[in-house]
Amino acid sequence: MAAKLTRLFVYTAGTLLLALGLAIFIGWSDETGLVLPHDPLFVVPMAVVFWAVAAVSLGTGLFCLLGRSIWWKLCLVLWSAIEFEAYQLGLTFFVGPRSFQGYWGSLTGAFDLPSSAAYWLSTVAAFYLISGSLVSLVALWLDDRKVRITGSCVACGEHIAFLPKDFGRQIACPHCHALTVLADKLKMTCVLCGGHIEFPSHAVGQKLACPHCGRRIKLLTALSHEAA
Amino acid sequence: MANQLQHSVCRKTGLWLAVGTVLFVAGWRLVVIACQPPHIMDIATEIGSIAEFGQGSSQGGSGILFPNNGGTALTFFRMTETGLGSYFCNAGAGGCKLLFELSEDGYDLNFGMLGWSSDDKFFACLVPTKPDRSKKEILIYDGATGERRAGIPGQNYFGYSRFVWLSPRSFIYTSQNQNLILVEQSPDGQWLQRLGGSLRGLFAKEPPDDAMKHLLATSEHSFAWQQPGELWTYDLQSGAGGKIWESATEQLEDFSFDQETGEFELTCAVYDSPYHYHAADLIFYRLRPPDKSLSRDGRLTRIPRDSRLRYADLSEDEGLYVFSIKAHRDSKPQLFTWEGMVQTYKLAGNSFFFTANLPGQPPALWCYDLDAQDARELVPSTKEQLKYAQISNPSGGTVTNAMGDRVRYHLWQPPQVSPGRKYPLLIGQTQYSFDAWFPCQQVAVNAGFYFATADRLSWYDGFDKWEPDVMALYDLLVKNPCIDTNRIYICGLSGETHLVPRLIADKPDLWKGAVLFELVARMPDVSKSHLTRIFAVSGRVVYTGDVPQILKGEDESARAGVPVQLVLQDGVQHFMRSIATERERTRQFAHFLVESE
Repeated sequence: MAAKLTRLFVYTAGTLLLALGLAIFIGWSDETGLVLPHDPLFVVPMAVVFWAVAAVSLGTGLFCLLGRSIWWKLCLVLWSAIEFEAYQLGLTFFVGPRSFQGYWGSLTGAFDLPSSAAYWLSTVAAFYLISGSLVSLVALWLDDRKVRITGSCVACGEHIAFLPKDFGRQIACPHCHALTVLADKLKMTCVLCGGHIEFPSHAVGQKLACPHCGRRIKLLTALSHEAA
Repeated sequence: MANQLQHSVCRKTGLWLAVGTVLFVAGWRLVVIACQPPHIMDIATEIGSIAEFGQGSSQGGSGILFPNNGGTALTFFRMTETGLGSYFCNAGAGGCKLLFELSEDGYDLNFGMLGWSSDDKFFACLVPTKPDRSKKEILIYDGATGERRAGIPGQNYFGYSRFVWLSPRSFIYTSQNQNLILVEQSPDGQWLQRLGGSLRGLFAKEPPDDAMKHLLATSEHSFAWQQPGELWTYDLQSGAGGKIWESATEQLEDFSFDQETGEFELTCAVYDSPYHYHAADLIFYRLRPPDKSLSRDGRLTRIPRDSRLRYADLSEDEGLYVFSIKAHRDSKPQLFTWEGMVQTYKLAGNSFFFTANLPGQPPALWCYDLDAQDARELVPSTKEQLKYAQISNPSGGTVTNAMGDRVRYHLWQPPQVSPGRKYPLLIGQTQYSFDAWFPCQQVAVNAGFYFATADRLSWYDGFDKWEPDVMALYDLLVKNPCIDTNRIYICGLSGETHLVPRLIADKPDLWKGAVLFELVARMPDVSKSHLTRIFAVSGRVVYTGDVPQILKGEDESARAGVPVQLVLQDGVQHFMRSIATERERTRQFAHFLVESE
């Protein structure tokens, strides 16, 4: 459930940021020929600030929608949203309560939005992104801290960590993609004497002496037979 | 396998979401564009591309039309793509020929029309030389064909020089230190210049350089000129001259001289202060200059309006213009009506030249033949019919302001007004005759705005009652059921941009936005107003010193939460003088209007 919600959040965050970046680019390109003021916080032309915010939003949005690492996605969303909100609050407290609308309001005309509506939309969006990414990151971290069992892939022998509830599930190995069963101990019958042997999953493929007949055999499972 | 499949599914979902987001944002923008008045940017481009008849320099003032004495030809100023062009037009044949062009950023004191010789064989112009534009040249043109005949170095001609033809083959102009430079055509056709006299000894206190206005030849060796409240003469042969009339209570507006009777005709206005006089209450005098038997005072006679030697008067009622024209001393005045907007006019011989438009058409140059009593178009403004824009003509009326004065106003309405729907309004006060053709007005109307102006009689008249006049018009128009009282924009042009901030400060709740053309003042203080947007346009060149102030104002407005659409046009002086610049202004203005609504 938590994983699904996190994925949903990442999608919405990506969509929001991508839309914001595109909207800034379109609104800014609509201002061709106008003399824009200087940003009061960074004392650089507003065009530079527009460009930077649009580029960060676009990049983060696309990474959220098309990238791989969920951790990176959430961290980037959190960073972008905090930067944006800090800038917005900086304008509000150090320059004037309506200054964000004054400096950014000219962009909203391209979408027929009143500058006050754009201000509240962006504030709500930033709050959503910050709180959503924080909650998701905490959920992921907690998820990672849960007790895990380490098993091995029956095909490639690489270690696979899994939760106790997944014990016995058949999955595709994240390393070799071959089908394997999540288990910490495996069982086999000695091919020479028929005695039962129990061994840790990471020992698959090793050769050792059978505890019953003493002759050297290779530790295999039915799955590794099929895989072979 | 399942994990890979899952990742692939995630990636596809992300891709679809990305595509969907792009389509959503682009679609939103397209819907906004679709909801704007159709073809509004095409309309703005079309209106901005109309070659306007522009104010050019002439003899210490400005003007548009410069007909010859017989009314058979004229020169005029009109915008070109990159600057202001001076054109020659033969009234009989029509059409026009470009004589020279001043680029947008040119220095206009080195450029201007100097005048026609008394026999109309020549006319002279002042132009900057190329490539060094700081130097200038007086060019002599053939009065019949517009061909260039001679070029005279104009190193002695300075910004406030005055020029007058004394005879068909000689003229003088003033140089610095009140010297008179005489230029004569020698028998071999060469034009030679020399020092012809000096005015310096005439004045007890030397007047400022720009005091001398309107030189007029009274004979082949004498001339007259006006200074504020005074009329002077000078004779080149004797070197004698002096003041022949002065008044402390009347503003000398203009004068003419009748060579037959030797009388001056003076047109005066009653005035209260240097920049405040009642131009409507004109007084006419005839003045016979003092002869030797008289000590100083000439014989001054006040004459009724109808007794003037020749004149062309314009009156306007409910959008209908009526010209009253008297071409000669003995002729009867003719009445001539015109339904479009009139910008400027000049009477010459039996021809009456004027720039005006027919209803629904852009302005053109027209000639009314007083003998044939027929008007014909000499030079059209556009080569092709307008495809998108609809030219609107105003309705007019009067309203009484809080001071009890009657104020004329004009109201332009959108081409299609749907009953029951409310429209935004742009309101201000502009000198009507000066702005009879104002492209941004037409853009606003095409964008679905009402545009209203309370008129001033002249540019310097009525600044002191700007606010009561505008508020009187406001009070009248808010009763109009088609006007949305929550979408009223206040606008000002040039000097009026000083007054707009005061009105916004006095009545902060009334205005949704402010429009400032040719901004020369500080931006309005928006901290206590309800303004949502400001549009401001100005040239960068002349008012370089004001640019930091304008930028500071933009910053202050933004801090107070009001975004400013500021256009600073590179290479443009206070008044724009090229089609390209005008087109940029109309497009930016249209952009502001559609985004504000």
